[in-house]
Parts: sequence; C-alpha cells; structure tokens
Amino acid sequence: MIKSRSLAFELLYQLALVAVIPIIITIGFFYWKLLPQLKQNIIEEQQSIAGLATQQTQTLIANAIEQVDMFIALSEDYSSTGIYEQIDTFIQRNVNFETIYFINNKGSIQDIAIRHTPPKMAHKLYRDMDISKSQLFQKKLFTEDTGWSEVFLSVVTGRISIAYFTRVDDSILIAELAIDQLPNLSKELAELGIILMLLDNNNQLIAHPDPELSQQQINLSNLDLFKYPIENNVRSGSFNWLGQDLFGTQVRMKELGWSIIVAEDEQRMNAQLTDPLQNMVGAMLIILLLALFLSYRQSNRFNLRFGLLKRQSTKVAHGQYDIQQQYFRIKEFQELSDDLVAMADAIQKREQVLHDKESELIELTNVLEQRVEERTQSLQKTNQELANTVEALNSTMEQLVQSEKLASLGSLVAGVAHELNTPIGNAAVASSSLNDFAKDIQRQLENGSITKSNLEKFLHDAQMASGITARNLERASELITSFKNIAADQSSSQRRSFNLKEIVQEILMTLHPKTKKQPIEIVTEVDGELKLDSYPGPLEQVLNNLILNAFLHAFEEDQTGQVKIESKALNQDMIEIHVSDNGKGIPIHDQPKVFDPFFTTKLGQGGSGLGLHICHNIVTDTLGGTLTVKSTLNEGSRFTITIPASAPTYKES
Amino acid sequence: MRRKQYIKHPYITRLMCAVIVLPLTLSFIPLSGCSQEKQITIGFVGGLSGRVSDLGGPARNGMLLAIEELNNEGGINGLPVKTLIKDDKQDVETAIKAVNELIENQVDAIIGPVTSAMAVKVAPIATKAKTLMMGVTVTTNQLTGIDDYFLRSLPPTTVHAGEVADYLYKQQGIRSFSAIYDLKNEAYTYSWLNDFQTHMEALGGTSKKILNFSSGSQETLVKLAYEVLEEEADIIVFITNSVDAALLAKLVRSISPKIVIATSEWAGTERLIELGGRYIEGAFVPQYLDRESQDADYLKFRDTFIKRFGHEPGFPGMISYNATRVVLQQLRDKPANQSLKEAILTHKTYPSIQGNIEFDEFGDAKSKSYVTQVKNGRFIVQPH
Repeated sequence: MIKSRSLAFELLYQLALVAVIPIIITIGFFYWKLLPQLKQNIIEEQQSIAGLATQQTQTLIANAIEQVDMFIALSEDYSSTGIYEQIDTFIQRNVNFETIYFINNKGSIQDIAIRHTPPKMAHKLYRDMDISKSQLFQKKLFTEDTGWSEVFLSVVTGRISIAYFTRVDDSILIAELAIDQLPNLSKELAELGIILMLLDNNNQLIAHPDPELSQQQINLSNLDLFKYPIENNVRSGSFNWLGQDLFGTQVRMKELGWSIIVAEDEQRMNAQLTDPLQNMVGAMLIILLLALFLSYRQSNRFNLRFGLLKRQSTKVAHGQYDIQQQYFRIKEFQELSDDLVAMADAIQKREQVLHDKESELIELTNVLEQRVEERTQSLQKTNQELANTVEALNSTMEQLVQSEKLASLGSLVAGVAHELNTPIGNAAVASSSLNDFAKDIQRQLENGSITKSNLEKFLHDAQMASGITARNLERASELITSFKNIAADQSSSQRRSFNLKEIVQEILMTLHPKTKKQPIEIVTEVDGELKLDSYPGPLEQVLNNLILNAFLHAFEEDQTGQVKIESKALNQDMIEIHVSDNGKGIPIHDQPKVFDPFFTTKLGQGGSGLGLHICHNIVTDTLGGTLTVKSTLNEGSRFTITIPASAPTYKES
Repeated sequence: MRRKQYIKHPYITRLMCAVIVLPLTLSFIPLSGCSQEKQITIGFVGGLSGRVSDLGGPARNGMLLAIEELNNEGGINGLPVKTLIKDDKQDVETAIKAVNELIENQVDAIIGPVTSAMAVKVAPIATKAKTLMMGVTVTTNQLTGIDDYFLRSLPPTTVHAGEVADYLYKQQGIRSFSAIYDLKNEAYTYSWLNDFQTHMEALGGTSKKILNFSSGSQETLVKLAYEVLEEEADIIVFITNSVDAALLAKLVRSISPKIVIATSEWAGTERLIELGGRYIEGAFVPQYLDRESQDADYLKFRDTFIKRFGHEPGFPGMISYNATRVVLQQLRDKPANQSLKEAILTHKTYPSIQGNIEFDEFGDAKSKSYVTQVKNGRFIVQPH
C-alpha cells in the first residue's frame, strides 16, 4: 500500500536529495581522489624543498672544495714551517672553515690554523698533536685520497664537524667545516612551519633550524620515517620526533649519502588538507540550508496554488460547477486552472444532457413497468385458468381412475359370475337329473315295476349325480373364497406379509376366464420362498394390469405367444418382478409415453389410457419402488417392477 | 507506474541519513585527531654541545636507549614514554633555564645534568619543585648526604678519588703529585682534588703544584704546562675535561716526555684518546666502566648502543642508561600513593650493566669503579 505524502514534503525531500547528493559525491571525491592528490602534492613540495636544500648543501660543499683546492694551488710551499700563517690568513677569510690542518701519515698535526685563535697559539697547542686515534683518521684518511668525512666531534674545536680532506704530497690537508653553518638555509623555511634537517649517512643530525640541535650529535636512525620503503632515494611518511607528530620526506643525496628531511607538523598539514573540504562542506551546508529554505518556500507556494486548484476540483467533484477563473504566473498552473474551469463547464453540460436523458428513461421505464404489470396480470390470470384446468383435469382423472376401478370391479364381478356359472350350473343339472331319477324310481315303485336292476341303476345314478353336485358346489365355494380374498385385498390396501407366488397364482386364477380365450401360454417362474411385507392388493392390481395389458396389446387376435412372470431377489431388501411377452413390442417413440396418463393405442376400443399410469403410481407411491419398461419391436416388451421386500410405511391418510 | 517511484523503504531513508551525516561529521575531525592521555615524560638536561658534549651526548643517548627499549615493550601504562631534551651548554644560566622549562612542562623526572657544576645549581630547583632529578656523571661531594630530590647512581668523589689515590700510592709507588683543575666545573674538580689530596696525604704522599684554570682560555694551557713542571712530582693529575686533558698531556709530555700523568674520571672518555693520541699513552684514568669487559650484558648493551647511535657508549652512556632504567622501573612499578623518590629509595638495590646500584637514604649510590691505564689507545683495567 502506497502511503501518500504531501507535496510540500516531497518537494522538500527531493530538493534536499538534489542538494545532498553532490555533497556526498564531493566528499567522496575529496577522500578518494583529492586527498591522496593533495598529499602527493605535499610530498612533491617537500621533495622540491629537499632538492633545493640538497643543491644548497652541495653548492656549499663544492664551494668549500673549490676554496681548499684554490688554496692548495696558490700556496707554493705548504710544507715549509711558516705555512700556518698562510693557512691562518686563508681561514680568517673563508668563513666556512673552522680549522684547517695538515697531518702526516702517522696522524700527527704538522700545521694548523683555527678560526678565532691566534695563529701562534694554535700552532703551539696543536702542532704535533697525535690524532691517529680519532674517528676521522681511523675511518677514512687512509682509504681515499680526497673526500668528505662523516660527521664527527672535532677534537680540535670540540664542535660537531664534517671535514674535507685531500692528500697533498706526503701530508693530508684536513679542512673542518662546522656544520652549524648549514642550518642557515633552513631558517626561512622554519618560519613557514617547515622543518628542514640534514642527516649524515649514519642518520646523525647535522643541521636543523635550531642550531643547538645540530650540535648535539643526535642520531635519528630510530625515526619511524626510516621504516617506510625508500624508492629512488626518496621516502615519505609520518613520524614522531621530540614529541611532535610530523609528516616528512627524506631525500638522500647520492654522492655523500647524506639525507635531507623536509617535514611539517602533521596536524597542521592535515588541517591544510581538510580545510578546503571543511570550507567546501560549510559552503555546501549553507547551500543545502538555502536549498531547503527555498524548496520549503517553493513548496509552500505550490501548496497554495495546488490548494486553490484542489479546492476547485473538490468543488467540481462535489458537483459545484460555479468555480471562478483563477490567474497564475506559472503557465502550467494557468492551464490547469483553465482546464479545470473548462472541465467544470463540460461536466455541467454533459450532466444536463444526462439529466434530460435520464428523465426520458424514467418515463420510458414507467411505461414499461405499466406494461409489465399488465402482462403480469394477464399471465397470472392465464396461469390461474391453467391451474384451474389442471385441477379440473386432475379431478377428472381421479374420477376416471375411480370409474376405471369400478369398471375393473365390474369386469371382475362379470368374471366371478361367469366362473361361478359353470359349477353351479353343473350342480343344478346334476341335482335336477337326480330329481328326475328319483321320480322314475318312485313311479316304478308305485308301479311295482321296480326291478332290482332298476334300483341298482338308480342308486348308481343318484350317487353320481350327488357326487357331481357336491364337487361343483365345492368348486364354487373355492372360487368364492378366492374372490373374497381378492376383493378384500383390492378394497383395503392392507399391509401384510405374504408369499409372492400365492399372490401370482390367485391373480392368474381370477384372470383365467379372460386369458383362456387366447392361445397364449402363461409361464410363471416365481420363487416360492419369496416373501414380502408389503401391500398385496396394490401389487395384485399392478400385476393384473400388466398381464392383461400383455394379453390385450402385445398380440394380434389369435396369435400364439407367451407371457412370462418371473421374480428374483436382487438382495435381501430388493425384489424384482418381470412381466414380459414375446409380442409385437412398443414402438420406440411410444416407449417414453407409456406411463403417461391417457396414453393408449386402443383409443375408442375400450382402452382408457390410464392402466399403466395407475400401475406406475402404485409402484412408485405405494410400494416405494420403480416401474420400467424395455421393449424391442417384434420381439416383445418387458416390464420390470423393482420394489423393496419391506414396503415403506405411510401415515394414514 | 509513476507512483511506484515514490515507494521508499524506511531503511533506505535511514541509510541516506547515515550517508549524509557520516562524512559531514568525519570531515570536521582532523585526520589524525586522537586525543592522547597524559603520558610519562622524562626530561634531560646536560651539556650537549661544546667541550663537555662527550659527556652529555652519550648520556642523552643512554637515556634514549633505555626509554626506547621500554617503549618497544609497550611503554608505561600502554603509552610510550616521551622525552624532553635540553642542552645546558655547561653554562649555569642556561642550565637553570633549562631545568625550569622542564619543570614547567611537568616532566615526571629529569635525567641529568652531567657535570657537578651544573648539578649544584639545578638540584635545589628540582627539589623545590619536588621533581626527581637523577644526575648522570655528577660526583661532587657538595651534594652528598642531602635529603633532596637529587639522586645519582654514582658514589661521590670521596670514594673514587680515594680509590685512585690508593691505587697510585700502593700499586704504582706514587708519593708526590701535582694537579691542574678546571674552575669551570669546580664543584666536581675541587671536590675530587680535595678527596685525592686527603687520601694521598693520609697515605703519606705529598702534593706539589696545585694549579687551576678556566676551560676555554687556551693561552693559559701552555703556561700551565710549564708551570706544573716547575716542581718535580711523581705524577701530574689533570682534573679537567677530556679535551683539556689531552692538550695538557701533549704540552706536558712535549716538555717532559717521561712524566707520569693521571686524570679524573671526567676526562675518561673516548675523546681523550682520540685527541691525546700517543701523548696520553700510559696515563692512569679512573673509569666507571670496564670497556674490555666480556660480560654478555655489557657486550649486548654496547653493541645495541653502537648500532643505534654510531658511537661507543663510554661511561656517560652506560651510567645514564643505568640511571634511566632505575627511574623508568619505578615510574612503571611504584604504587600510586608513593612518590617516585620514595619508591626508588625504598627499593634501594637495582641491577645494572656492570654491577648493582645501591642507593642510600639520601639518594647517593654505591657503584663499581675501575682504575685503567691507557695502552695502545685503550683503557685497560688495572688489577686493584
């Protein structure tokens, strides 16, 4: 879900972003790019200062050498005893040298002049001094003809010195240069906060802006600076000296092995490095604040304008179209405002049109509604009429069913009468014959014409006649009992347990008068053990109907055929009864209609078209089963009753 | 579609804030701007230039070596020990100024000075400021037995001068002596001379010419050489710095090549031999260290020292190294409620290169000394 933010905030945010990103980029640029560059610049600056100092040092040294060489060239006989006066003259003129002396191979001073010392005094004190054990003599003099010594503490002057030595015939001339001369070159730099130091090849401090330090024989070989890797005789790094954190560059002079260290206070240097950044960031912060202020102001202005436009659009949204034309200096706002007014106008117009159309529609709707109402009423009326018709039909059907029932009862009664007619007729004939026999014998008796044989014949005939009478009456009685049962079952839908086979036989017996006329065989394959707890009356009616149907419809007149009644238990609860024939069958288009009421193929020939309908109703409603038919043209039909062995119970209605 | 761009997760906003604020904050922090806790600072005062710089230089270096070794092991309380070094130029005014500056800078202890002349002037200043001052090669009797803030790792001249007199009298058969001493370091020279003379006379010896001069005035040296030889003595003792001793030896021996000479410990630096050459051969020089020692500790120390500074430690280097180590040990180990001076004196005995240092209750120490004779440009320790 997107959370909406106010325009003012968004503008402020975006503008702040726009202002901040360059700051970040600048700072990043400064740290990653500019700072190393600036540092490199400082290193280069230090290198160039060191280069200058190197040059100066080398010039100083070269000058010294030149002076000494010149002196040697000018002094013709420097081995003579008076030489010290010459040296003295030379040394008092050349400020670079503290002392000049000749020594022999054994290290004895032959002649000497010392600055600020009367020549005779120096001569007296130092002539013949044995300095063969001195650092200077021990280290270098015998290995090289000419060169510079390392820094050493002069035994003559007691000062830290360096010495230029050169072999002159059998002697060695040694010119000592007090190194406190050198610091002069770095004093100006010191005022700029840059420390310039000159170190000998043992990293002993030779020159420093503070001349006192130069004289202290300070060895700097433990400076952290020397831990940095040296490349092309140059290295740079941070180090601490005399409690001060410095950043410096060492430049080594190739010939002498001396080094110049140019260093400056690290904190000051870093401040120099970061000052531009701080200024820049400061300026940017001001810009940021300004930008924020301006964007705040701008966003407020926008807010005001948008607010105005928003109120107008809200008005339009609420359906108030009488918004006023606004005037803005910003083109887009003006256009928006104009568009808003135009939009309001357009909406208003469209709404008017819509409103008109709506009215029409409403009218139309009303008319429609009225029509629908009318139609509905007429439909309702029709519906009512139909319902009435259906009701009438139903009642008619009921009446028909009743009349059918009566008809079948009638037919039953006719059958019964017919059945009874024979035995009772037989009995009547036999009894009237017996009466005739009796009258004959009586007459003979009276006549006396009676003979034994006549009597015996009479007794035989009487016995036979009474026998016939008795048998036929018994048969009538049987019939009546049977009819009584059927009548009882028919009239009362009594539920009871019964044997299916018995029922079937009873039906066949009652149907016998009707069936016997046709050459159609009735086959029963009913399991004698099959017992049902159901309604025997309705079941009999159904079977009665189905069998009669087969006789009536399945065969042509005098056609031979077979009607088969089968039964089987599908399972413990369900029983199937089939009534089939091998007659002409039912046309396929008639099959779905056979159970419909009033469907008959024998209309006008005595068929009501209700028989199968009634059967269907009884099977489905009373017996709780199904009645189906399968038929193939010219092969026969087969009706299947599927009913539960125990019929559903119904409440008395 | 456009609206989708406005979906912003809160963490992105926070990240943005961090990205903005962090560099801004960082940029105002100096690049190496870590504030440091109070460090231990050791001050040094001594003659680093001029004629006594052969004491002061090695003494300063000895101190530096001790401190650098400690710093390499982690310093004190995890911080390196700082140093503040002042050159007194063997000048009283400069020394006083230097010590005052050190005290103003609140140094935890001062190593130095290297001469008695300076020590007698600056010791009271240190005492007043209750700043411990550990003298290096200061042996004047003037500072003996005073309960002040001046300590030293060497015994006063009484002990050493006496030993030298004893040796010369007993082992070398010296019966009479002349002496020249330097007024510029009178606190030491006179004290030494006095002790030597007292001992010599106590043994039955006699003093002949006792002369003095102010170092630096070269004209007087020649005069002194002649003057000291005016009376015959078995030995001439120079109680001067090394340069003056060498010059005097040359002058004296130029006149009287066979004369036996001796110096006080002060002159017993490498420079004596460098400048003295053959003129100083055979001279008796008392020493605070045995340069020929084969002791492993000493050799290791000497080796390290030479590697670091490019020259021999000499006695000032070793004494200063030992003294500095005493101070550092107590600065590191002392309980918070104990002053440095109390701690040093309570602990009393400290191991050092060449023998233990033992402080008495006044902060004067007993330590070993040797009498050497210069042979082939080397100080050879004499059996005592």
